[in-house]
Amino acid sequence: MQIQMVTFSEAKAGNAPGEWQDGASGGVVGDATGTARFIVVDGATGAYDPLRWVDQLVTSFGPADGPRLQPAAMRAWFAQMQDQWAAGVRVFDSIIEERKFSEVGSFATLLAFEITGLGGPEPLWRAVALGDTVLLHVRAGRLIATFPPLGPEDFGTLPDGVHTLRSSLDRMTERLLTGAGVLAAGDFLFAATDAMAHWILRAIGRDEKKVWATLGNLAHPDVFARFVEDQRREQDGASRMKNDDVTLMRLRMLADQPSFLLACR
Amino acid sequence: MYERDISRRDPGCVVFLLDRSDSMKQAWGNSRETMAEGAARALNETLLELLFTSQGEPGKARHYFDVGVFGYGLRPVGGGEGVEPAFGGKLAGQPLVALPDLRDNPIAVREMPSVDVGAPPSRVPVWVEAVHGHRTPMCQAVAVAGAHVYEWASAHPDSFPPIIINITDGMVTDSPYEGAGLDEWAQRLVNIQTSDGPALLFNIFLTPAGSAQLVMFPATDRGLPAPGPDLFRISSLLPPPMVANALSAGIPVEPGGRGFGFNADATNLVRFLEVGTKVDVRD
Amino acid sequence: MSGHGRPGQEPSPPPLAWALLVIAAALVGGLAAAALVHTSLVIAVAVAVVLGAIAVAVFRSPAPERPAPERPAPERPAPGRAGFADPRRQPSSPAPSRGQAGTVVELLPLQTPPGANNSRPAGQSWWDAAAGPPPPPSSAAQRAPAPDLSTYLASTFIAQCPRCGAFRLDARRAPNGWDFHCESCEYIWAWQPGTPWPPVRVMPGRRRESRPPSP
Repeated sequence: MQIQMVTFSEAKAGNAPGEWQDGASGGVVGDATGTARFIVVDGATGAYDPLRWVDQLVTSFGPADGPRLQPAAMRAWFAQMQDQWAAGVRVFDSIIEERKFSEVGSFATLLAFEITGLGGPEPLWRAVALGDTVLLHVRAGRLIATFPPLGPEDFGTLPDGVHTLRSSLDRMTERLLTGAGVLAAGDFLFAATDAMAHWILRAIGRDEKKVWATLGNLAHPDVFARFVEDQRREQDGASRMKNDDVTLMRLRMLADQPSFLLACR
Repeated sequence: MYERDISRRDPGCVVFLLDRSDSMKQAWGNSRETMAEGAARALNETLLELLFTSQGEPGKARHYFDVGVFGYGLRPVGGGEGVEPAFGGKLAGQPLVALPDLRDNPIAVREMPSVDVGAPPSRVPVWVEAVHGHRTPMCQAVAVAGAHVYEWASAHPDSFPPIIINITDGMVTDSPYEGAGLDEWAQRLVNIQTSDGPALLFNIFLTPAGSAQLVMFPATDRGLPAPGPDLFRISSLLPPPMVANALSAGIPVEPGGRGFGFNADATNLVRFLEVGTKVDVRD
Repeated sequence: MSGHGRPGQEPSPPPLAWALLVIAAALVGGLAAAALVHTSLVIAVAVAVVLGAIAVAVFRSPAPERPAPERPAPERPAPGRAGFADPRRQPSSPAPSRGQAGTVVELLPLQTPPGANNSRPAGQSWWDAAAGPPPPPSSAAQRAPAPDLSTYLASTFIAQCPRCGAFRLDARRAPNGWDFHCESCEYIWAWQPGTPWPPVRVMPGRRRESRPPSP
């Protein structure tokens, strides 16, 4: 089985594209391993230098390296990340900044997942998560799994996430969630940061088929940008997408080698 | 046939065969240029037009065409008489050049007086210089260029067929060449095909005489003095897109008109080249 | 993430969606009527524009007529930048220069076209090699009725730059596959059909259009 992967991103309206504080990366590991790994993170605006923290997390979770997706290995990786962050050379331009670094630290939600068994008929996805970045498994136009298992009412409160402060290590390990599922050809996996995830979970309550048809057929970044902009401007508050950084990673399981490559010019 | 649009996926190919024989040193009509200078200038203008067509985002030219210029007669680099690629500078020796590379590597940018009275001079990039000497090995030019055109067509089977435009002021002096005459070499050239049709060979004959009667895209060679009939015979029919180009430029084309011009001056050489190189670009 | 539970501002909805749908429908009709050879391009443009545009139109609820808010005129891009205005100078405006002429989607067939790697046998002259029958058009060049649009995406990789995640790429056929150049971050890579698309890291900060124009 092959994976069609595309990741769309939009910064918060009013921000520059480079100020997007989410992070996303992923792909197939090597040519013949039958494994693919992915990570999507969402940096907290109020934290210390969230761009840098997001960058470190995503860089360290490369497709070919990074931790195994099970609690003990993830704890070790959290600790390694915190040590790496603390050891990073910084120049503080004020005592306030220095204290924020040491006392508040930085923070990001985390969704990391892998797909194994691509060479077989039933690949498996396995995921870990801290916070409200969500993995949605869709088959034949229906949502069959949500990981973490969040509903539309579960967004808007302080989520769990990966902290830079060592004092949070135990809590992170306790709160880390794991999940898994079996994939079939034609299935979709959507990984979405909270603004998009929240919108999706509300929208499918109104017309699920339309949501997946729309998101499944997106193929151009400008169309995605227009779609997000329109949903942010939605008059109906219950339908409106929150103005926040948006990331949507879409994986589509292809039965065979693709016949085309779609390139934007 | 001749329906394919030019695109970055299926670029086009335009090759110029440029007569660099000694007779090109003659003054051209009533202008102050020699035919060599005028032909080089027309070529540089045509290349610039191709680049205008290919200009996408600022600072970039899209790869819509591969372009070649083969000079025959004097070989300024190789010496003596023969055929060699006519690009200079960083493109020296290259038989076919992608438009983005052409854009980035003119030999020079020169100031030319504007045609508009009182307007400041315009800065014009130059890729081909005017030279002249020796005789007119036109068959060898077709043989040399043909090898590169064949390889290009093999690599671009879905593209609009290659366009080869021969600019000359005289009679061929090397027919037969390697056992084949000019007619046969020309036939070999247009036997090169893509899935959209055979290669197109157009010929334009320059004359130093300012008063000679111009003939453009005729359907017959009636009344043409030598070497008109020979060049007419080896010229391809003008395909519909280029008939449309000619008509939109105000040049009438008879049914069955060929890509042939006779007694062209500098202005009409430019018009001829425009008609022969404008193909729809879609991307 | 921003502060949770803090509502954002409420800009008025733009009169965009219906115009976008009309334009998209005209585009589909126009392309279908035109004698374009590249049916894959028809499909690609339709997939990218029509489905997405219909979706965005359908998901908007009707809005009352409101005067458009005052917005600064879009800035001309600085020389050398690829036509993207600094978004920080145009808050909350419709995407100004993106999606305009020059940004299209193209489906590139991955089968090696017949004759593409034909080289004449050693010792054979080019004119003898050219004397054979013309090459048949590849499947991408042949005209055929357009199939259902959504079937194409089911058999497609979507190209993104592995280094920054940008979509606007320059693709050229290479002897063993394709060479790519990212127009946003200048990254260059090669890819062979039959292999997975390389892992992608989305990093808008690496893209040229995300950086502020130089003074």
